[in-house]
Amino acid sequence: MSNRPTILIVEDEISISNFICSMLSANNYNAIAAKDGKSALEMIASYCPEVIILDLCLPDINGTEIIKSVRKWSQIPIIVVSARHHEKDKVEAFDLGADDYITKPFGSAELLARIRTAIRHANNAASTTLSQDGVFSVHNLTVDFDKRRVWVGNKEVHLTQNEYKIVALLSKHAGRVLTYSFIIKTLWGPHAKCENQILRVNMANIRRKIEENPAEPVYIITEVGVGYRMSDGE
Amino acid sequence: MDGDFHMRYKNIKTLKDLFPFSLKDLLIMTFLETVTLVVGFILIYNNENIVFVTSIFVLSVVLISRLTHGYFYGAFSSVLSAVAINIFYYEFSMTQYNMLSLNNYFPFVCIISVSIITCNLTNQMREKEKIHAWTERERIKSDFLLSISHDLRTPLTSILGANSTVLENFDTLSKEQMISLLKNVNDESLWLIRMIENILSVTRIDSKDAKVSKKCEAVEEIVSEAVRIFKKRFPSQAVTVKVPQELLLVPMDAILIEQVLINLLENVIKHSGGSDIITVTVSREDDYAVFEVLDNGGGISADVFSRLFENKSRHKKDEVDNNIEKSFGIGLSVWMSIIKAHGGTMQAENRKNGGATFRFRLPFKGEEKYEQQADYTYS
Repeated sequence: MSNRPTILIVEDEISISNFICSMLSANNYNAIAAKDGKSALEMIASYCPEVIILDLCLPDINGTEIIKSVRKWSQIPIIVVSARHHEKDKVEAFDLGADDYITKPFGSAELLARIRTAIRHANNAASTTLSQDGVFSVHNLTVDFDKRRVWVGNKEVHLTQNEYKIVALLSKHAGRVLTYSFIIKTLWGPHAKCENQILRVNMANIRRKIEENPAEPVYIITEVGVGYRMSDGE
Repeated sequence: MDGDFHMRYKNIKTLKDLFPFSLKDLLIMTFLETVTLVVGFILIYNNENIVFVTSIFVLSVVLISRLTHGYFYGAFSSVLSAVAINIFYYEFSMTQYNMLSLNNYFPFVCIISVSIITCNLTNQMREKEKIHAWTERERIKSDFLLSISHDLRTPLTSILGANSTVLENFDTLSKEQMISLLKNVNDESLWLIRMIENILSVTRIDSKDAKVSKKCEAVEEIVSEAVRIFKKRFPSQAVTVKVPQELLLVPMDAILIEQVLINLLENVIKHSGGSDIITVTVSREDDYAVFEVLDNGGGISADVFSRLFENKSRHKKDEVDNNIEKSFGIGLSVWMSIIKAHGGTMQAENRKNGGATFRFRLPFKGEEKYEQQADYTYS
């Protein structure tokens, strides 16, 4: 009992909260539920859960406010639950520091996978494995951050400066969605206009260099309307 | 909704509605009035009868009243015309001007009446057009709602039925029976979810002018995402994707186009009668990006084909119709309207060697073409 990871579900719909709780308990998690933003903030502070599952639509405060206030003092993984048709909310949630999102409706398998990933990432971040040997690899792709070189299998891929920067940035945050504006600001500075097209052109070039079929990418996945994510092998 | 309607189309008699300002109207009025004045002046100068001149002014006032909005432009031009007629008459007929003569005011009254009546008729016509467009939209909406509710009721009934059977008889049901019932619930819920995603898609289309908010998107990203989501749902179905070497950027609502693609793919599963492989291709054809979903299944039968893109009405009860309804339901007509809202077209055809092709085109609409080779360094 004591060793089970605690997961907080912030969700105002009782039926959804119920099913997530029982599913999590059945899968050896310690699930606690908050049904509005105020009690959620109190519970986060007192229980320090391993993962927070957060619905953005709450009766009292906007879910994004919760992300903001949690991120001021903690890096607890936050998985946002949102409806499919609200990319703007998703982008905002990611930019505020949410770790992942899952769109309603979702199956139990999907949610459990996200929770595992979130917990793993949190552990990784804690032990700073991000660049312990300066190399990131997934499937056949290898990115060497020290030498600034990229391989697919045994073949070195020649990327331009910007292309390398994008690949390296996504690799360093593998498994996490990086929003368009985050990538653009990191590459071209805080005053860059949000010109998605330049990013898209670069991405198309990268895909043609590293993916076998750029239309069925294995490494860099698009989150439509939101951003890109480097696969972390899951 | 009804209250909104009355507010917008019945009680329009605020001052601003009666005298709206628009630069276009102002230009129309200035142009027509100037032309009339010049023509009138030339006619009078050549000693034409004042009756001719007057009728030209009347014509001009009618035209202005008809072509502009509200009462201002018509009224203003009629006053101007009446003044002009008076001046022309007295200047060129050498008659002494007499303030008290009723004849002076006669053209004023006539021409202003003409203007006001025309303005009034024009306004009424415009209102009727608006109301007509509004009722048409409402009709489509309610048709749509009716067909949705029908489509939703069936799976809901089966979910409720299966679920209550399990709830009430969980002691007596065998494990297999229970699992089969619950699986049923699962499948029907998934179907409902997809339905609702489609319905939500429609709400993204602006109901006023049937426009969507478009952003330039890389076609290959949208296609690959759609295929990825589809493969998650149907892992056993083989799908190949082909995109051109050149990067195609098309202005679109990405979520909607993704939705259309996913639906077209699921369509193959549901109706092709089994296809070994689905091919999704994107190509460039002049000013259009062409998306194709090809299968090698049974193709589309002739009677289904003829009604494929109609907004299926739920009244028909025969076997075939029920089949289409269950299958395409609100689907195709919705996707069609999504593509249309993008300024594109959608077609279906049977392939020569069996199977069907669903194809839609989206316009580039003069978006800049980005060369794919260049690495765009931001400066």
